[in-house]
Parts: sequence; C-alpha cells; structure tokens
Amino acid sequence: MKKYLLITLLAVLGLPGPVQAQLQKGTKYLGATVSFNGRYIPGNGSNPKSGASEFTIDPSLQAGIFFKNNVMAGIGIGSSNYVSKSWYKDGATIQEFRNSQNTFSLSPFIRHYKTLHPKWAIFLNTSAELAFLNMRSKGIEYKDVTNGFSAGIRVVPGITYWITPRFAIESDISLLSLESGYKDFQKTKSIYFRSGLSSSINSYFSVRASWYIQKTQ
Amino acid sequence: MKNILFITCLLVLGSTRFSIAQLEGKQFLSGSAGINFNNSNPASLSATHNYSYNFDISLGKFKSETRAVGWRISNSLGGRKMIYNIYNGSQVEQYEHNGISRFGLGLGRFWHFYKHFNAKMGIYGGPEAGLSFLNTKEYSIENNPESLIERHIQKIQLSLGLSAGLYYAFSEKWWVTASLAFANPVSVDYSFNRVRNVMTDEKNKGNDLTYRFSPVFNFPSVGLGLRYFYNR
Repeated sequence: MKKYLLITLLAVLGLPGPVQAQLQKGTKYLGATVSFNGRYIPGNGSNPKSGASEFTIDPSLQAGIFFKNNVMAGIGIGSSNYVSKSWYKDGATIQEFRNSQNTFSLSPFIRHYKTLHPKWAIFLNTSAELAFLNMRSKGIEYKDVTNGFSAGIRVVPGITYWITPRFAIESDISLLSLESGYKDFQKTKSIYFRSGLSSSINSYFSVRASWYIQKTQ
Repeated sequence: MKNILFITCLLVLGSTRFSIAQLEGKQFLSGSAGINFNNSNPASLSATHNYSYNFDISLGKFKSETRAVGWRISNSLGGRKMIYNIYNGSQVEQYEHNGISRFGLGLGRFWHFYKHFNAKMGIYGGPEAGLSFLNTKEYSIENNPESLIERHIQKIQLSLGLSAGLYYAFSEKWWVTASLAFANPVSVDYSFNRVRNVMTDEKNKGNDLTYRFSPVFNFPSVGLGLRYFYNR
C-alpha cells in the first residue's frame, strides 16, 4: 500500500527518477564556447603616422561519453590566442612590430552529475590540464620565439540547464575551483596551487553551449 | 505512514498553483537610484570631496501574462574636488581640480520574460539592447618625470545584453525588484581620447575602437528597484 502510494505520487507529480534520461550510460556529449575581444587604434593624423591593434580569442571544445549513469569521461581542447600589432610610418618607410601569446591546452576530464530538477543538474569536473605555451615577437630586425609547457590538475563545480532535452547551457563556477600544477616558461619553473576565491577575477560564470546526444532506440 | 502523509502534504502544497493577478496590458514605471557624497578634511592638507548620483527609469508594458517590453533610460554624474601635489625637481607644485568628472547617459530597449511562482513572487529575465554615452575626465600622476596627466575620454557604446531579476509584489500597485545577474556578451564602443600633460601642456589625441563577445555572467550584481503600476 505504502509502495503504491509513493509510486503513484512520483508518477503524478512527474518527479525525476533516479537517473535523468540525458545522463544515462551511453549518452554522448559535446560542449563548445568562444569569447573574443579586440581593439583598433587608428593613426592620429600627425606625422609620423602610427596605429595599433590587438585581438584575443579563446575557443574551447569538449567531447565525452557517459560510461556509467551520471558519470562522464571526456576530453577538452582549447586555446587562448592574443595578437598585437603596432606600426608607424615615417616618410616612405613603415615599421611594424608584432607580438603574440598562445596557449594550446588538452584536458582529459571526468565529470560527476547530480540531478536537482528535470531541467537542472550540478556537476563536479575533475580534469588534468596539459598546455603548450608559446610567445612570439617580431620587430624590424629581430624575431624571438619562446616555448614552454604547463601541467596540472583542476577541480571545478558547475551547473547545467536543459533548454531542450538535447540542448543545454552550462557554466563552470570558477569561483569555487581548485587547481595545482607545474609550469616551465620563459626560463622559469614554477609550481602553483590556487583556489578560485583567491583570484582577483570577480565572481563570474562563463557560459558554454552543450548537446547531450542519446542513441535512438 | 505518517512520514508518507507528511511528504504527500509537502509535495501537494509545493505544487499548488496560486492564482495570479491579471497583468496583461498593465503599464509600469520602474526605477532605481543611488547617491553618494564623501568629504575628507586632513589636518595638514586642504579638504577634498567627491559626489555622485545615478538613476535609471524604465517604462514598460505587459504584452501578455509572462512577457513585458519597454524602454529604459539611465543617467549618472560624478564630480569632485581633488588636490594633487607634484614634485617638480626640488619644489612642490600644487594643482587643484574642481568639478564634474563623469557624466553618462544611456537608452535601452528591453524584453523581459516572467515566471510567476505565486501571486507575490517571481523571476524575470531577458535581452536588452542599449546605446550609451560616457564622458570622463580623469587625472593621474605619472612618474619619470613626475607629472600630472589629464585624460578626457568620450565614449559611445552599443551593447546587447541579458539581465535577470526577482520581484516581490507587496501591493497591487507596488513591486520591489532585485537584479540578480547581468551579462553583456556583445558590445562595440568607440572612444575619443584627449590626453594632456597639465604641467607642460603637451597634448595628444587618439581614437580607438573596442569590440567584445564573451558569454559571461556577472553574479551577483544585486540592485534594488521599485516598480509602480499606474493603470492597474
């Protein structure tokens, strides 16, 4: 009697079962986000003419598969690229300076989900962060290239909101992240351990578009 | 059995639909404002002060029970009296600046979508397109050699954003609103910069164009506002 009452209740109110359809074993996952910003400063008319521009783009892509209910394994690739250029014209000669900083990262991850509501879930993302760092500068008669790498572990919680059963927007709560690692760049070896709370960045949530693709049965 | 009954009660109560007052066609005036004044009077130096205000007013209309559109205007102004002591070789030169340092005007069009939890509370969110103008005049001290720099910047900004908030209706005509989150993913701005060294009167002009796309939410940006329904 008790059991029937409970089951009926659950059915009537449409509460989620123990595993949400999107988080079942076998579901494939794809997530992507991008942000960019730039600045252009034209010459000011007086001689010598000069100008500058800069551009930053940060794309990232994640793919994964649920190997257990509520647990996903995946891999993320991303980059952060900054290019700046400045020039000035003195008579017929143009002098140009270029500078770029690039980070290419590869991050295998495991993500544990907990459903809160048919449309909401929270997750904990644990990832290994491997990155290749590169800096280039180029002037009139010089060219300089510096390479480096970093490796670390990062744990960050996040939220998912399903707009449709397949499509969701999600956000890592960087404010609560923990990370630790090793970096070798510009002839400096460094070890870091940091929590999001101690960073100077304001509390922000960067948003990612994601798709939960299930096998058609 | 007691437990189950208790849970049943909770669930039933939790899912009860409250009747919501008719909102369609209602027009409202929403606003928030802030003022600030600061005075400092050190023992050995002369007194300085700064002041500012900001307000924004929205005029909106509910097109349906869950959708409202409207216009928003905003204005801010800040001013101050500041004294700068610059070491010029062996002597100290004193500069005083008094007056308005910041003035901003904005115009926006918003589309808000509502989810009413019950007759008194709900959340809303939606996109907003805006155009704004900001005029600032700032001073800073720079080294090598120590000098006072004046930066006069006029900026025009076009932006597309998202905002979300919470409301509580404490009477038929009055609501209190709280903004909870804000995102400005798309923006383009153009600024005219005039830089002047106050001591040597050396001038520099420049313009720049800045553009941005970043799907980032700012939490929390809590601002309280009041809303009045004038034809309800």
